[in-house]
Amino acid sequence: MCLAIPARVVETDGFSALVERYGERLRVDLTLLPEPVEVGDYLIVQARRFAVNKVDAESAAESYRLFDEMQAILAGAADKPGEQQE
Amino acid sequence: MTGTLSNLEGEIAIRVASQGGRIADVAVASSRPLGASGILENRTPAESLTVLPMVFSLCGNAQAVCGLEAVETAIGATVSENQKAARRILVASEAVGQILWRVLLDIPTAIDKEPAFDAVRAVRASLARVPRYLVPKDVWNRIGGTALTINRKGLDALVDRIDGIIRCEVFGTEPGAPYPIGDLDAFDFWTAEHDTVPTRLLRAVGARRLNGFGAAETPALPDLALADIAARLAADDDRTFTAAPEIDGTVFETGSLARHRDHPLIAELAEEYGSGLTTRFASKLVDLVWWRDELAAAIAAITDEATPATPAITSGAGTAAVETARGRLYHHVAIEDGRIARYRILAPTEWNFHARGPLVAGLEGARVRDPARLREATTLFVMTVDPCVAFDLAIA
Repeated sequence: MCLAIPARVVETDGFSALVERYGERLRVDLTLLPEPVEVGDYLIVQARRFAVNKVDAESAAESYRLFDEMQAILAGAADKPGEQQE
Repeated sequence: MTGTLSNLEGEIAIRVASQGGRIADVAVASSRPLGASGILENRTPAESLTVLPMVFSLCGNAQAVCGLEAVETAIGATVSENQKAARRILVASEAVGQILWRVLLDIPTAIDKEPAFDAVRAVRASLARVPRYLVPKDVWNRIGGTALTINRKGLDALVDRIDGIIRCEVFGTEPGAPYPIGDLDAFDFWTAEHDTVPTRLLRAVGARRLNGFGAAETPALPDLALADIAARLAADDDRTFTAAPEIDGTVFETGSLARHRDHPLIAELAEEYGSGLTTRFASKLVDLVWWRDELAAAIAAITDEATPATPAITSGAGTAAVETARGRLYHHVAIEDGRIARYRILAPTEWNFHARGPLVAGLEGARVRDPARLREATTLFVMTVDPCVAFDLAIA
């Protein structure tokens, strides 16, 4: 269950990009993307290593809304005795 | 966007204690958020099925199909053979892409062999068009199915593209020649005589005497009755079962090796090397051809279909199982008053990376002749067991 969290491109040299998602910065490989990438684009990253898809800002915003909700659910579960978050 | 990423994506932490090239102890801990399926609860089934592929990226098609089938079981809806074929095409094409990624990119990189980036990029571009070859102007993941307008030319070209990559990049064989996975003689000859990313990897594994690295016995996940899995998932409020699944004390393996244990080549390799690196890597190649054949069979079976009737949403519970590249995936849903009251997902990684699963069993006691090669061998083994999230390996 690899989560599709969009990461915003902070800088790129065309071959790799520094991306940010939820405050975490990662250097990702762009080799597998069929299209060029610019600062401000949103990418889906697989296994913290390769960018695999570019998504538009609207889709990224919708994804962040869902992942914010997921974080809230996980945080709520953590507060309940017996609920495991792993 | 709020909060931090910690505990959201998660990873598998593998801690290995070694002595003189022999692994003395292994510990595996997952920080994957098993409660993430909570995002699918308190929504209508249609909403949940829209959200599913948006949040799960790696095997989004398989996740969506498993979710659809669980919901359809819960409401007693049946779908046509055409709809089933469309879903098989989506799952099988995704699996082909995932296995090519592992075989041509991840695994070679782990042993310092040149990956085949161009082939993986080309196949991913072709695979991205698959949904449009089935459902040109709509989403495919509707409960009860959707109108199918088959682009047969596109689908046939996809299979041709995949065949070309398997033949040229994976096996390096002449057009019309059988793939060298029929038996051990053919496989050994191919490994020695052909020059492709996989043969370079297999020769390196052999030269380093790592063929049997990681061999251990873990039973293959049998075809469990869905009612049995359903009962376990329904009662799994604390997620003990989904975190570390076992049946009556037994932990199983699922995925390429478990699927093809009885294949002639894999059985012969297992006699020689057990379930070590060579057998595991070969099982990925056998699996790749198997998924390609699954894809071609589903394409041959599918035809156009008008929009099916939308089934009524009723209360009930349903469980579904879908084979994916990494093994069997289960989804379980309970619907109450038109909304998802409970959603549970059991992913193949939970079996394979269980504290007593094939990863740990294989690594415990494994040894290399050159201790400097231990990290490389262990990384390769983890890749062949094939987690669905990133892993962090520490060797002391």
